[in-house]
Amino acid sequence: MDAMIETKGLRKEFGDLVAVNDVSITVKKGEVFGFLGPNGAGKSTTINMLITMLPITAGSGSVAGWDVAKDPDRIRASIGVIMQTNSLEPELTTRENLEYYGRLNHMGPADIPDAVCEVLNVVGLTNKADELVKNLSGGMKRRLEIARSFLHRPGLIFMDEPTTGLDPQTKQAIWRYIRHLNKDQGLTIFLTTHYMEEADALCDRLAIIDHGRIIAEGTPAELKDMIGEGDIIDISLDNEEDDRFAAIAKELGMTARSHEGRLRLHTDRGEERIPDLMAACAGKVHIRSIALHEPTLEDVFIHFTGRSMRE
Amino acid sequence: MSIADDLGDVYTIWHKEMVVWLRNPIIGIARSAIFGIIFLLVFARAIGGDVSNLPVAVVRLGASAAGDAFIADVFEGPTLQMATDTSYNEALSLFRAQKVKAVVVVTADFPRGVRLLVDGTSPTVRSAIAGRVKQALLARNDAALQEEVLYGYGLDYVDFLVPTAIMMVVAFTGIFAGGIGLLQDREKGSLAATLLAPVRMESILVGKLLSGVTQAVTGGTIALLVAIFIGTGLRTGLAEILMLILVMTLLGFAIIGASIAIASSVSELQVFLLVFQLFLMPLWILSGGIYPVESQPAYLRWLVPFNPLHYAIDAMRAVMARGVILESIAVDIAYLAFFSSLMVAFATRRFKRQV
Repeated sequence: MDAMIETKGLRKEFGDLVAVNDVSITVKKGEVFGFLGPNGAGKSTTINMLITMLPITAGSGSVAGWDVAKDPDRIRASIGVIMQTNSLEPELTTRENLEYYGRLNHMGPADIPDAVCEVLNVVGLTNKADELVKNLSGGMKRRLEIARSFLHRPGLIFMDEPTTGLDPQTKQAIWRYIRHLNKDQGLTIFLTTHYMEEADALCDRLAIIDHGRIIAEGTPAELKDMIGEGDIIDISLDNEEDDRFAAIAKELGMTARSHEGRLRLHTDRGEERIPDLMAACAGKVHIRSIALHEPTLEDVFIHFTGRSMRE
Repeated sequence: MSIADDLGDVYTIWHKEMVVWLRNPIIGIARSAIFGIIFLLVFARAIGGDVSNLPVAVVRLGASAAGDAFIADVFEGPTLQMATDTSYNEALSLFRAQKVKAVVVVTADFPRGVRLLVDGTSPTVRSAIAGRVKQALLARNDAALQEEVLYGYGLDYVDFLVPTAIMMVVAFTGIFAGGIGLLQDREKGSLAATLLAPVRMESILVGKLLSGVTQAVTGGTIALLVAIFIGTGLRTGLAEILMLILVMTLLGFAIIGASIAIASSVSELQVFLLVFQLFLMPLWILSGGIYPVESQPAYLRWLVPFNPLHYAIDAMRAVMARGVILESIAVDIAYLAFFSSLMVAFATRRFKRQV
């Protein structure tokens, strides 16, 4: 089985609202696939349909080889899930939470203690095994949920915004665990996020979703290439001299486009072009600031939607 | 900080709470209105009225004109109702099965030999019957009444309330373990993990039902132990306790099934509590738990045969006053079994795999 997830024309309506519109994706075995998009783009709705918690309106989907509409129980047995919000029982200990989930997933009673020790070890919670979950910090709860998601050895894990609301340090730790599950344990991972850097750092391939539709799909590098090779130079001017600057840029073989109150140039070897620009502008246009960066997924999102994801 | 600042803070907090309160005016208004209606129209009418239409059997061991006139006098007025005029053995078996509350026996040499066999399970009912019979007899000279309390001898109002206490504990524990617990699980997210497991919905529901029933029955049993500890004239032998546990179990399934069904149909705790208040309060007041159902006016009394709480109270009271007499509780048990099955089916229908 090569495709762990395959959807064709997946659609979800809530009344008049189309939350997910014609989503067709293929997630291959062993890859980390990401859904990147702003809040309300339809990421969670898509995940909830794939984990069989929400009926689909139209289209089809298969997860781990099973049809989401026909074999929900088989799908739930073959996947691990990290929900967007906490889903632990606060009155049980760390260990009891895991044991409960192991039994619900029909693990052999003899296998559970070892599996619990192993997953706790992976996420570094061994010393909190007998602590009540209500006494754990937010980051520890998230780590425990990661531990729980692969306790029963699923081939595929869904993570709905795994690092939302966590501090940067915990975020880094969670990324480490996600890489470990993928690289060392060989698990396929489907995750959603609205953090560009998270999608960039973790995903082998990703789809950018907006208003329920996929607007671009590919590896992070492919997506960045879609908006032109090379670097991006953002320039802000002191006065209303956009046209004059554009003319200068044109002479140097670059096209300036206005972007969020600044001017943006796409070019190769940006670090070498900045001195040329400075020299050409000297005495003609007063430049207040210049920023050089490589294209990010944020730029990709802006390229396709015409607006920033943080709006 | 001046006092004016503090008062300003008080106002800010008051104002915010009012805005929140007025955002859902229906709930606030409905709750107040429902409570007023239930308290004034149901509670006031169901409690403290005169008992009426108490079924009594008559046994005439010999005919006499004076005896017949006395019997006619006994059933004058609304208090007593002649259920049957029959043989002594037949009357006793009706009495045993709780079909009649008392048996009046007259002989050929009336006014001698008048006997009243009465049920002491409810002190109010017993004194109403005895009072009415004595009054009819007092009008005739030389008559002596032989009153025998066959079941529930020496029971008082505290004993009368013991089954009520057990019923209330079972009901409230059940609501907390069932519907409220489900809404809280949903709120804190722990329900999601269970729903995500490859487990049938029916298994989840039955697991929740059984855990709720276990808690409710444990609670009811503790209330029973309290009653035994503070001293009661009721029967609390092994057979009685086992039968009480059966009744608590059936009641538990009914309450928890209903509460899970309602909790699955509403999204907010406020609405859940409102719906439950709407049903549970009247059913409780009209159950006969606090005052005999025979005191209720006709426009409330028609509900009695449908009220599961009434059957639970009636069965527990009968068991504790009279011992385990199957024919006296068969109808109660049958109705409770029927009603709890209905509620469990209702819960099965409403309980969905939704986070």
